[in-house]
Amino acid sequence: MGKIWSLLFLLVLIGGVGCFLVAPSYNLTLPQDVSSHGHAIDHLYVFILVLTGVVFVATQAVFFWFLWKYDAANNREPVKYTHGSHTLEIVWTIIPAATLLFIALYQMNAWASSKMRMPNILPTVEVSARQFEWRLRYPGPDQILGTRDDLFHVNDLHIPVNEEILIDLKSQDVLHSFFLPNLRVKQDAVPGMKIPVWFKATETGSYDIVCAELCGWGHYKMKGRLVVQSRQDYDRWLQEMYKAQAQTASPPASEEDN
Amino acid sequence: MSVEAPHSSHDAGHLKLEYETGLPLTNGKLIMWLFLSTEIMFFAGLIGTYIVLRFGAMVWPTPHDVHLSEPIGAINTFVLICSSVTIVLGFEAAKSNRAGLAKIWIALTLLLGSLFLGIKMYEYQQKFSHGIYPGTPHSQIYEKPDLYYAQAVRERLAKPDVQKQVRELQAAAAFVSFKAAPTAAIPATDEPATTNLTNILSWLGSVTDTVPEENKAAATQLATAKPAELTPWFVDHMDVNAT
Amino acid sequence: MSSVTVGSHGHGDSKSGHGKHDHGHSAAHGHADAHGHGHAAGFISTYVFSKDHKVIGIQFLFSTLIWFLVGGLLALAVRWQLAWPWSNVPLLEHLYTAEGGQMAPETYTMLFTMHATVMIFLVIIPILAGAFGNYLIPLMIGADDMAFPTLNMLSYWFMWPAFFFFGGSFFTAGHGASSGWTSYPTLSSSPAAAPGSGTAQTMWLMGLTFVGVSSMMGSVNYMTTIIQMRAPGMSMFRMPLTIWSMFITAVLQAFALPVLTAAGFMQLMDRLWGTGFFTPEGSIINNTMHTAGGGQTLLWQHLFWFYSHPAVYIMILPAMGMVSDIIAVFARKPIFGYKPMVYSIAGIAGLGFIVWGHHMFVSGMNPMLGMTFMVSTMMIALPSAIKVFNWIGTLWGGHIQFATPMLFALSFVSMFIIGGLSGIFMAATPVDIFIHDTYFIVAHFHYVLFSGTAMGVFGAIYFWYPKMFGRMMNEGLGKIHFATTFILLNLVFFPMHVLGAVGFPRRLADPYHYDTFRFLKPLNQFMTICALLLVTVQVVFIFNFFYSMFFGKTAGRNPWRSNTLEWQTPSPPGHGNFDFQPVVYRGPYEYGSPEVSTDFYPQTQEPPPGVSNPPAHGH
Ligand code: HEA
Ligand code: HEA
Ligand code: CUA
Ligand SMILES: [Cu+2]
Repeated sequence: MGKIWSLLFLLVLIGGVGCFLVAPSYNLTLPQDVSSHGHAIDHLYVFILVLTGVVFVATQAVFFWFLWKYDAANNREPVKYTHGSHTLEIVWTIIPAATLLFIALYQMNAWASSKMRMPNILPTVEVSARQFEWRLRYPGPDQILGTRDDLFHVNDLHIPVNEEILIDLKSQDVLHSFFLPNLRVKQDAVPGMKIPVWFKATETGSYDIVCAELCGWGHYKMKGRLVVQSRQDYDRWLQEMYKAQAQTASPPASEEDN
Repeated sequence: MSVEAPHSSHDAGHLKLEYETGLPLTNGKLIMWLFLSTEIMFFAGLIGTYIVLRFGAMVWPTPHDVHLSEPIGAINTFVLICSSVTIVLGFEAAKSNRAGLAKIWIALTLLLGSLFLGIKMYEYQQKFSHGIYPGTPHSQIYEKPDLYYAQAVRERLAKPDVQKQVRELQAAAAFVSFKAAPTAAIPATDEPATTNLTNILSWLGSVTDTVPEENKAAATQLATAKPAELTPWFVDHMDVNAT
Repeated sequence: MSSVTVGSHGHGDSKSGHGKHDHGHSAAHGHADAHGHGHAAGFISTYVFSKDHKVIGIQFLFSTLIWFLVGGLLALAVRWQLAWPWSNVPLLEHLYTAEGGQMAPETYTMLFTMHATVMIFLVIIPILAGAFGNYLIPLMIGADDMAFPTLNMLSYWFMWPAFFFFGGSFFTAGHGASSGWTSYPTLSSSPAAAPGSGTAQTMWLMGLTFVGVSSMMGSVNYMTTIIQMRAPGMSMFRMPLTIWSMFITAVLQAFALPVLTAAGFMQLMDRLWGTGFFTPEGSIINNTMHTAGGGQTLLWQHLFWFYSHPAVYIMILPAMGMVSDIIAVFARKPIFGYKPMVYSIAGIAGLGFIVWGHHMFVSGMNPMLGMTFMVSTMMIALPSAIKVFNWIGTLWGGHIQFATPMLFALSFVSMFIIGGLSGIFMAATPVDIFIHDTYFIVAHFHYVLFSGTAMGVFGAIYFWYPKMFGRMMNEGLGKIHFATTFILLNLVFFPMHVLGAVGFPRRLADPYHYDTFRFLKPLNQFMTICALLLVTVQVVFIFNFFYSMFFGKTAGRNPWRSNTLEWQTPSPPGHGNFDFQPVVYRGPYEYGSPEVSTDFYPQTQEPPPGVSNPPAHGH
């Protein structure tokens, strides 16, 4: 019976490794990455996956082996009466410590480039989250946010490809989180704070904007669309938006301003 | 908190066990000290919050703003501390069997306690008379934020005549003349009407600060109005207590 | 079934029986007789408002098990929606609001909030500290009860207002709090923000406060008892690891929980009295303007996680301790590296206070601070590593008996490795940018909480059941329960890792309308089916639990031939626990000692003549 139980635990090892090996062929892996910084994150993910994979395989294998070998039903040797070993304790403290310290140092650069090295450019767009939509505000022709020629839009974020984008992220009511799975971007939008988010998209196309922080009953449907366009397409889109808005907005106001 | 002697009456029947004690304290003292040290963390939370908020705030009310008299507060603190001293002295006196002295200290403690409460009463009276209460009135468009309500609104707004009211509301928005009137921010009416209504209302609220000075009052009023003040456009159609 | 060892072992019993006679005073026997009459006190004071730690422990056990069932059913409703979104929920149709029998989106948010709330605050924390802490501490250190029995009783009865508030909140608008078990403002602090943020949230906070008061009462009592009431010879380093872990858990509770209580009060004030601790000025939440302002939303997160990170260790350390004891008993071997085990428990607890920021990497907190928290989080894996290696070391060269408690304990180790390793991904800040708030996190904490702690708790129930009720649980049923639970839980929770890798977000009532996640539905349906089965097979356990109470094989004093003190008392122990004065001569894990011919060597057994092993007094 002991053997069967040991094999059950071996199943964890086989199933676990198997699951991660098979998953990519069903697309069950990191989604397509279209950002310039994403590969650093993906690399780190794979690196930790391999490293923890090794630890996982090693510990589970030894675990299984001991269960198999020292099953009371067949182990005829006397019990090894021992209270531990200083050497071993030191070994298995130092090795994980060194490994962990290495991971800690190894990742710092990726973190800094995602969250600490803010590019020195004007914000491309202000994203202001509210229950349950993404309010967008483009600076308009004068390139400055918060002036009267700003463009307003909802849920449909257009950006130019291959350019550094800086977003001012805000929230009007509760917490939200601005999540672009394909760009490896996630940042909570916090009421009362303006948080910079930056990235560079490397491929045109249309991608999901997901709200990743619980924000109420409509959290699940707080969906936006990120459209990455070539510079020309993007400019054209801006022009159209601007015209459309100029028509509907009260004309005297905008004229006064320009 | 119950500070009972260990093994009080309840277990008179059974074998009395011997123990190895870790600290030369009675159990009562030990548990009380442990309890007090948990209180340190409680106040660490509160005081930490105060520090964070105080240093994170752009402005902080002056004592004058909140009708706080610092000298009175300081005196009251002193009174409180003195009362702790007198009660301990009373306890010491009682322990050394000097009943008279103990009575004096206890009476003094009582006196200081009443003085403390008196001063506190005065301070609160000052606040109340300036209208400072816990629970400032919120300006709420409706008060019962629950699903039933939203459901009711949704149903009502689905009706054609109410659709008309919504457009009237939009017109009202134009009336307060938002210069940057971002119609794009008000999605067209293909979305279910609840979103629309809430959008409009909260959008009104969120742009009040960009409204030109002369219209600010009107905009603020509209944005923060209670249902009753929003007549006639939609209150008739919106049963605030609908559940 | 394995050839070994369950059932009462005549010789194990008589052996410890001898131990008892060796230093039992005649008074003890006199007492045992008088005992029956002592119970005239009446049903109410014996079984309801009892001050006996054993009764209180069992009260905690029953209450938490019932809530466990509730939490499990809530999880099923969650799973149902994830597999077949917006379809009618069978059986529960009438309980849900909204159109037909289909679940409203706010109901979904309520379901996972209350699922987590129930599981964490009403199941895992009270079952570990309340049920097993209460039952085992006095027995394992050789005390007749807790230092303060009345306070102990109150700590149980303070759970009832919490039961009432959490339970009652299901019947308020929104059917329960629905801002996540983390209750982040301003969603939670503004009654207008969500249907469940009204009365339900207030009740949630009240419930939390009572749980807090109850824990605080328990923890100071446990600390006092462990410090002051150990049997002669039971020095700190002769205490079983269960007691060490309970002790350190009590320290964690005592010093982390008050911060949450303070934060809870502030959120209550924000809600009820219009203060603005957590609300910045100018927020307009669902059309409600908040006049008070000046608060900071992130402040709550700091205060919450300052408690709740240590709390995740509160939710696992006692299980680690109990698992260590179980493994040593069934490997028939001393625990490998007893002192490193103790130090690593302390290390986890100490480091546990300085890692809370790892829940807030993408919250908008200063990224520099994020980096510091990342380093401390990496380091906290170290003491856990030491524990894992020592458990494996304990198995090495043992005589492993695959009894039900052992199987659950082994699965704890195996599953904790998985749950712990996924923690490393999340501790890596750049990776966490992607996997934060995805199912990767959900996989992580179910592996540590369900596959880890809950499995450890099952093991502990099977292990100490004979002591609690005087009868053995059925082994065959126990093994069926183990095998099915073990396989199914892996089928439910392991796929969550790969879901997380795709970026599948948690807390979404219907994630499939995103293009990125649409194709994940079949996998979710598979997981849901497994979850349904997982809850169903618990029937085996429930049956076994109640059946054995009346018809199980009677257990002697020491059915597992164990060394620790509780097994030297009668099963179940009478009022006052010990019918002899326990004197401790050695550590708790002397299995296979060459000093004696049996393979176990109770802590109270006097050493044979000629062996110098004097009782260690006065530590
Ligand atoms: C019992 C509960 C428990 C335990 C023990 C842990 C243990 C750990 N947790 Fe977990 N955690 C939770 C419960 C728990 N957690 C919960 C409930 C949440 C989510 C809350 C919410 O948002 O709702 C969470 C969330 C959470 C996050 C936030 C994720 C996010 O929201 O983005 C992080 C990030 O760092 C984290 C990290 C860790 C780490 C590093 C450990 C470590 O202690 C693990 C250490 C163990 C090992 C590493 C395995 C054994 C070691 C070896 C085999 C040795 C060799 C290993 C190496 C060299 C790598 N946890
Ligand atoms: C200890 C904690 C614990 C436990 C045990 C569980 C158990 C389970 N959990 Fe849960 N879960 C959480 C803690 C826990 N969970 C937390 C903290 C969250 C996060 C919530 C948030 O985002 O705010 C969460 C969220 C969560 C989600 C994510 C929801 C979302 O984000 O959208 C899901 C989805 O699948 C889920 C599923 C399950 C399932 C299928 C189980 C199953 O394993 C359940 C199985 C149940 C049983 C096996 C019950 C058995 C009962 C008995 C044995 C009692 C016997 C009784 C007597 C003898 C009287 N849980
Ligand atoms: Cu916005 Cu979730
Ligand atoms: Cu944590």
